[in-house]
Amino acid sequence: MTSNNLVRFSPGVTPLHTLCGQVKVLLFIVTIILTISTFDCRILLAVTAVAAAALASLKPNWKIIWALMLVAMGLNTVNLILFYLFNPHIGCEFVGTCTELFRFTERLVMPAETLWYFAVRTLKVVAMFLVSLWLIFVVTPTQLAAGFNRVGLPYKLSMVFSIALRYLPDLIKDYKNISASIQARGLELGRKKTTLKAKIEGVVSIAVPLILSSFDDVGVIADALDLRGFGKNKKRTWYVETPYGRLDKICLVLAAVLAALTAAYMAYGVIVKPPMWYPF
Amino acid sequence: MNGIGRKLVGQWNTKTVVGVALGAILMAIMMVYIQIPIFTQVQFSLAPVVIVIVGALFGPLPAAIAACFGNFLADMIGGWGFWFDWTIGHFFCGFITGLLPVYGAKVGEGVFTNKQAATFAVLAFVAPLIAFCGITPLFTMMWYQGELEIGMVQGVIAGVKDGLMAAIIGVPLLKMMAKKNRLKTNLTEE
Repeated sequence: MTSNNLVRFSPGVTPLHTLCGQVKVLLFIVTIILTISTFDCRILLAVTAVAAAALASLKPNWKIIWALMLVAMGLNTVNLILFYLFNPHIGCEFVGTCTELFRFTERLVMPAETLWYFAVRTLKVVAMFLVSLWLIFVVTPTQLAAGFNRVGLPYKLSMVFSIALRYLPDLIKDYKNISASIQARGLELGRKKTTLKAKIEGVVSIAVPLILSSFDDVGVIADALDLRGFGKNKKRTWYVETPYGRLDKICLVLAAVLAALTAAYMAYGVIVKPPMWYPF
Repeated sequence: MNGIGRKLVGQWNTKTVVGVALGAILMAIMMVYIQIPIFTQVQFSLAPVVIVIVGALFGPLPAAIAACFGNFLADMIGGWGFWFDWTIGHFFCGFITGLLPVYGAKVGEGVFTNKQAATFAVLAFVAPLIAFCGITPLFTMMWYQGELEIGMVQGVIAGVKDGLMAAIIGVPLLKMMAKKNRLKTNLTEE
């Protein structure tokens, strides 16, 4: 197990990195709801472009992004192939018309609408992926916890994110130690060298001690938190949550406008139930 | 809150918060790093076992939240984007799996009888099937306009695999934990 270092533990220096946790979480929630609620490629293209620009402004490691994008696209392609094999007319059902382009067999026809549906669904996956990655690259664990708390999640639940991500490096270190000690006793864990049964045995022999030893620490960590007064009051403040700056205020207004537009768009979708936008 | 309500919600003290946090990150680590891929969005991992332990120690709602946040964190550290249809499915799976205190099992105090083990095994097998075949595909269809049947096939594979894992590894693990906790004290209830 090698961590791909996606989680940031210290804030970056770009303008978007300096936003408050609450603003980051709000922008993420609103954009994700908009992306989930639509199947209109014009909106999805706009979201994709803005998310890509926001991600680029963070100056991320593009090699990691392309590798992750490849995995996401691979999974999406497998899903699309399964959809097609199961129902070749899936696009026609969403668009409302059916224009056959060619056919592989008697059953496996390829309507233009199905190709359109596949393109829009892929765009939706890309948009979701870029919005998700933006949050992952821009937020630190404490900002995530503070952000969720300030948008309404109880602080004990918000702290779960902070504590969990803070323990990620420790658990990875424990995993490496357990794995090394098991391999020293002769268990082969190389991915290409072993059978499926041996791989499963390897997973179980590492995971069970890791799980049990981690839960043994619960009392110690809880005592440390109690000694620092955790849970004493109904509310708490966050060290990382600074007063709003100019950019925070602009982004808050933007999030509010986007939320209103998303709500109106969703209401329109529920009342009118329009078919998928199809320009041809 | 009455007895059953308290058992469902659990006692939200610092220990529970830490237990849920460690459960969530352990589940994420199992899903991202210590796993063997099987089918699209389905892999062999011991993530369900983590939820079994959270449920046994803290109750259904903490187990549900650990499963839900664990899936969110897995999407985060895995970097493949957030899939909230599966996150919601995991919430329900965690809740049903974590019902142990409701039918009398108190693993933390060393109580886990054979009857409770049988009840747990059935629920642990049924929970992922309900969550991943019934709930996740509905949200997949609603949010991604996917085929319900394909989502259900994925759900069956994930459900059977997670259910077997939770039942086969969970029962002996809970027995072991109960025995260990029973031996920790020589006090008897009068």
